[in-house]
Amino acid sequence: MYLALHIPDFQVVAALRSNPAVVDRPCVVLGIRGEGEPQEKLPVIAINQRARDAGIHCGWPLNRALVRCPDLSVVPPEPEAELTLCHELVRMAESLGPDLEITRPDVVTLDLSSRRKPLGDSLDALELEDTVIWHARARTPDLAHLAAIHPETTGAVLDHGDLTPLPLDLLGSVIHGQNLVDRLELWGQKTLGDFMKLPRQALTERLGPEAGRCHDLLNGKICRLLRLHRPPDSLAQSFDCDDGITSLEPLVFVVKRMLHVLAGRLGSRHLAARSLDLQLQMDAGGCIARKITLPEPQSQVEGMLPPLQTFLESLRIDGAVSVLHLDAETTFATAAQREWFGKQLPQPERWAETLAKLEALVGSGKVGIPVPVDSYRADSFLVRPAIGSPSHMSERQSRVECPVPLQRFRPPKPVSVAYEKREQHVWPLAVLNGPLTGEIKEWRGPFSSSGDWWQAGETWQRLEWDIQLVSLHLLRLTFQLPDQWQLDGVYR
Amino acid sequence: MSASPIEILKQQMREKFPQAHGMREEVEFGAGAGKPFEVVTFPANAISEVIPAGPVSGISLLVAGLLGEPVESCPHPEFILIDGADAFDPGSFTPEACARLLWVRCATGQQMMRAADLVINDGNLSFVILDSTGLSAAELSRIPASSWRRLKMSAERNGSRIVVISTYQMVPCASLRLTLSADLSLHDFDSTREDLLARLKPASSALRRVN
Repeated sequence: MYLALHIPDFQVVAALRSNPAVVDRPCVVLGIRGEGEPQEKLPVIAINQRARDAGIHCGWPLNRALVRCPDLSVVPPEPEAELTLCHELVRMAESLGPDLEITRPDVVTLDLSSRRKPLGDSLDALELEDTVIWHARARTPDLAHLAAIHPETTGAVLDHGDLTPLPLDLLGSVIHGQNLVDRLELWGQKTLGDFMKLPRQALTERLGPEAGRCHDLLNGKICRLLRLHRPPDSLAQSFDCDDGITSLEPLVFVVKRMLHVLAGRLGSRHLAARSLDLQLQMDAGGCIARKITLPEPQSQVEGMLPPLQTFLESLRIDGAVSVLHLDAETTFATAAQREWFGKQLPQPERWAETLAKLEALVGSGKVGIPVPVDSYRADSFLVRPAIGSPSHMSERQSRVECPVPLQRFRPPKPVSVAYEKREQHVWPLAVLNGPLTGEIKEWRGPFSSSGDWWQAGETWQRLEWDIQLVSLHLLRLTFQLPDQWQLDGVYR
Repeated sequence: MSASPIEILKQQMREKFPQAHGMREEVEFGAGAGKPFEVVTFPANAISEVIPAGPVSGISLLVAGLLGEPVESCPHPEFILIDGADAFDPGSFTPEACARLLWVRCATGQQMMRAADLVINDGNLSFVILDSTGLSAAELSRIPASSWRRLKMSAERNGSRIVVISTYQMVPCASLRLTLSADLSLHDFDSTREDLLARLKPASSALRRVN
């Protein structure tokens, strides 16, 4: 099944984007000839609905159109705006499927056979700024094209027999040259149905092979291959919000729409997304950026949306979001059987969502795999993401100094300590306040450490003791110059 | 000396109705029983609770015993540590051991319970450790008993093993409760971790099976 999307009055819509003041008036686009050619009796090449209502037709000379409608607005063609509009149409089509053809600047044809899910209501939601989208589905790309460009058949799923009432001049949009259509009109043919009733053999003998091809095309006997559109190399997309988005629901809607385009582009290259980069530009300035690593390569919206949605739900945004940027890192889609002997997560796609929810609950950077850092500085470690990052180990090997794991106080608890001087060192005697107090029964230490002495302002030096209070509690006590005592943690 | 009639009757009743008497497969602990803590020590589909017998009973060695001292790093974490008071010290473990752990750093008891609910319902990693030892008694008292029952139901559904490390008995629906007593002192800091793990004396409380 093929789907064709069409923007009616394409040139007028594009031209009116540069002339918004005349949108509500009858407008025509004038066909300006090239340099050196006579510029008299320039033809009208496109009209809007209001001009059509006034009785003007395409191809009329301008003076005739002005006689019919004196307040007609004449706008020049805008090739750049037409290109932009065409790109918007292609982008919309990419959200529906990866295999598409730019049949004409105003028509895009898609092959729906590569879609995994039915279209459902997604066609009704198609819209572009200042215009409507006509669409039709048929068994061949050309039938879908013909059906989409006529208002009577738009929105329908058609067979070749349904095209019979359409006017014959539509045939000109799928064949090269106008001679055949002109000759058929001279024969008194008015509709496609009239043409389809003619005997094919005799038609070919009289009018040549092109007429036979047209006959086959209208009868659904030719299903040509699409000239596939190659999507841009970059997967990056931006969405500029006219009015800033302040609530979650429209934000998720926009992200979902961008993901549909991304899924189409990924599908056309047979790739999958390994990670997603989402940036939200705020109205008041500033930017919120987040890279979300997916546990398994994903090429479908259903696999990519949940982690992004969880991230968006966890955001607390003060102002409005003005622009969204979405990009993806790609990899090959997983087509192979899973590893036999390695451990795998049972539901990796759910795992990413759970991790995102955990981060939303406890805060960014507080969920992950702890990695001790090769440093003597107290409480130095990294938390690496649970998925995505390579399990790179630091060069530090086992340097576990104490067999009993410490339970840290974060931040360390400042305490008052009774102490004395022994051999040029302070020596703790009792912990006077804090979570655990009492006379110190036994000591282990002091362990002196220092670091970063080569960096001005970051030098540190400390003395550490493992102490046991009379109450039998085991603690780690530290002293830092000039007179700062603190409890680093407890051994339970 | 022959057993009294009442003892014989009790024995017969225990054999006939083992569930009513809270009998379970006995788990051997301590020296001579291999590693003191293994995954299978704790029952699946259930919550186990580990509490200390004294101020320095070596309860923090539980995580060390579970992680072990692997020589190679694993690609995926195997345990989830939901750290109620953000007290876990990565510096006390080797990088390879840390790689077996997914660390969730919570700040309150409420966060700890919600995080546990998320990971247990996720079901990707089935061994979940909840460390509540750093939380205050007031914070712990705010956790309703129904939360634990909810966790237990989730564990039953997903086949999870939940181990709660706490300073006192607080999980009403625990299927296994271990009390650790090692009575550590500073002299023990010169021993190896294996020696200390071997010295741990877990004692299981007889609990009625809650079905």
